[in-house]
Amino acid sequence: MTGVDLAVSTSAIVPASIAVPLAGAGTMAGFSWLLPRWARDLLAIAVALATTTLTLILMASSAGHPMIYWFSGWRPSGGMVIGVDYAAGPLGAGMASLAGVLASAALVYTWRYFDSARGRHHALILIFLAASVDFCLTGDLFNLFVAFELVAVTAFALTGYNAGHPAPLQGAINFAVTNSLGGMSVLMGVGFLYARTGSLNLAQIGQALTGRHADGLIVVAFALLTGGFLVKAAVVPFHFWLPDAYGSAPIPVCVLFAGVMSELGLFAVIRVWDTVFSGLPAGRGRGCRRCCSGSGSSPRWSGRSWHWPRST
Amino acid sequence: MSVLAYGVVAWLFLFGIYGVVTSRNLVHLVVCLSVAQSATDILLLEIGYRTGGHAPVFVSLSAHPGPAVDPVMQALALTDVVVGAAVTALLLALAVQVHKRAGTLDPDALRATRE
Amino acid sequence: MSRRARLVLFTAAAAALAVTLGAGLAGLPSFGGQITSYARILNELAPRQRHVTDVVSAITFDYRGIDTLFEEFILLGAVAGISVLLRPLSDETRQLPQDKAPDRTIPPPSPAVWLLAVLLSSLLVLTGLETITHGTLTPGGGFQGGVILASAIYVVFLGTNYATVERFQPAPLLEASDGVGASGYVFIGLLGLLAGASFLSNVVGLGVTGNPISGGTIPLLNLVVGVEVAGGFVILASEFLDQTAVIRTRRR
Repeated sequence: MTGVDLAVSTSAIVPASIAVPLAGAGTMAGFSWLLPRWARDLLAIAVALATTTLTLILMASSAGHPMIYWFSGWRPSGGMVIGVDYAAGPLGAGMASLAGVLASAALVYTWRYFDSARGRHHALILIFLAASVDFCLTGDLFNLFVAFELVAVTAFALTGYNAGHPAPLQGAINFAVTNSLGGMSVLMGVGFLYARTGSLNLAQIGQALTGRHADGLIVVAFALLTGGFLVKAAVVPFHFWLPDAYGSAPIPVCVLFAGVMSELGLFAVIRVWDTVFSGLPAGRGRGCRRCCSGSGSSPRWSGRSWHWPRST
Repeated sequence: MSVLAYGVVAWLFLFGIYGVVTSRNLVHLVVCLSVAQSATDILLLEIGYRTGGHAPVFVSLSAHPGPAVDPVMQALALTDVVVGAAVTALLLALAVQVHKRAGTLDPDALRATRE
Repeated sequence: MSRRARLVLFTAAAAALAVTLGAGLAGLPSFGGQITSYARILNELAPRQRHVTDVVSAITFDYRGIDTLFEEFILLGAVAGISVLLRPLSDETRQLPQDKAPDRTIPPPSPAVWLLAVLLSSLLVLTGLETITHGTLTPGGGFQGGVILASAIYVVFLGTNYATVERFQPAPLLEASDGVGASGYVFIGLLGLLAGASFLSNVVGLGVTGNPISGGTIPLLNLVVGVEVAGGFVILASEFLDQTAVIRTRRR
């Protein structure tokens, strides 16, 4: 993303797009016993719709150039990035709006679907939404990992709703174990990239790697990152957890999975490739792609082999 | 020294996954998963280590001369520990319910009942 | 696929993974060598700019505070998920353990065990509070201190019985503490926005280095996270304990 005019933004809409769903989720988790059933549903849907509106505004405002927002006020000093930023682009904000629309739809559908469960489902869906927004907007590699794990944890929790039968429970366990292994793979890739470039910021890592010779460490980091994200995206051959999760989860949750989770995984691969690895010399770039499909699949084969035989 | 330090990471991770694949008990499986998780934490901390460095806590500076180790990697490892604890807790809750509903904690037996 | 075939497949995949990892690990800078300039800059800047002595706390709650916000919600999500998973289902009921013989009461715990429980739990509460409040000065902070605080409940259960522990676990209070902890972090972040700076900026007075109250919003965030983590882990304990002690299949 070098050479693009990156305007630093101080617009409050950027942090609001995650602060609103998170505050809503915290309130639902902690104080839902104060509200009657209809108020809980209404509040959750209102929060989800508000988040969707905010991300749509972001998509419109960032159409010309990506908006960079620095959290905690830590602008880069001396060419060194110190804090965490959001690099909101139209693609990311668009995906975040999609997540908002689907989360609102899922919440409307749960109007009478879930039993009372004291507002926890609403909290979980709102947290899922906030994590998806963060995943799509962030410009920091470790923040991407944390958002990845948060989406995963809320997804496991929502999958296990049908706790009364062993089959959905087992599906949830398969889902959780596979996605955990994917998360570990991503974290190791993050560690390797940090060791080489000394930064956790996507743009800065990209700058540090531009024009450099892509040695074994970079290729392995790329393989680990891509492999981990492709597990989430359920791209073949990492797709085995998908039937488990879809079979186990209640329908409103399947809406979220189908529309959001797989897309998030692919989005992450594209984003990481675009900002971090695209600056490498073209020949090695192709080598990266070849390596990815080869070496990235083997960690998942080993993780998958324990529940390989399934007739579904 | 590097070989030993980084070899531990690979060893723990591979054995954790081996445990997950060959486990006969869901609780054992969850523990093996957290062993693999700890391998990633160790990797982060080792990347941040500096020979002769002290902890990045600057109390009584005169007693701690010299450089400090990487605080960023320690913050990352802290976050990873919390994430691991959350996932472990969720998986154990799932295991409790599975045991109640299916009467067994053996992944092989559970798999057989699904087919 | 038989167990043996699975093992063969795993060995092949693990070998490939080992080679990949090995190649990556071999490319790392040598163990104990130079740390990155990012780390060096933060080690120099943090004590001066934020008046803290524990740089890791400053990074967790200030420089990279947004990561910690999501980390806190990972814990909240996990606790909410466990409450959903372990809730009494349609064929179950909550029934306190009862002694079948009506003419005698449950014998109290032995004095030695009871005394040990009292001592240990008080010690744990004190240690937990100390760890939370001194997060800016020494290693520790909200997460670590919150877990220590919550473990006091486990000790009370071990030393007494379920009925006693239940008194300390009023569900609305626990859920409220979780909610306060989680939304509290967001609201402290919004303080930064209200003050005209960025979200999660440190806009409270910084204080003197070495005092427990220094670092601006950092001790506040520590407190808020400590409340949330302690509440969350006590909820966890009560959910798992309920499963063993209280939840029974409904007799038809």
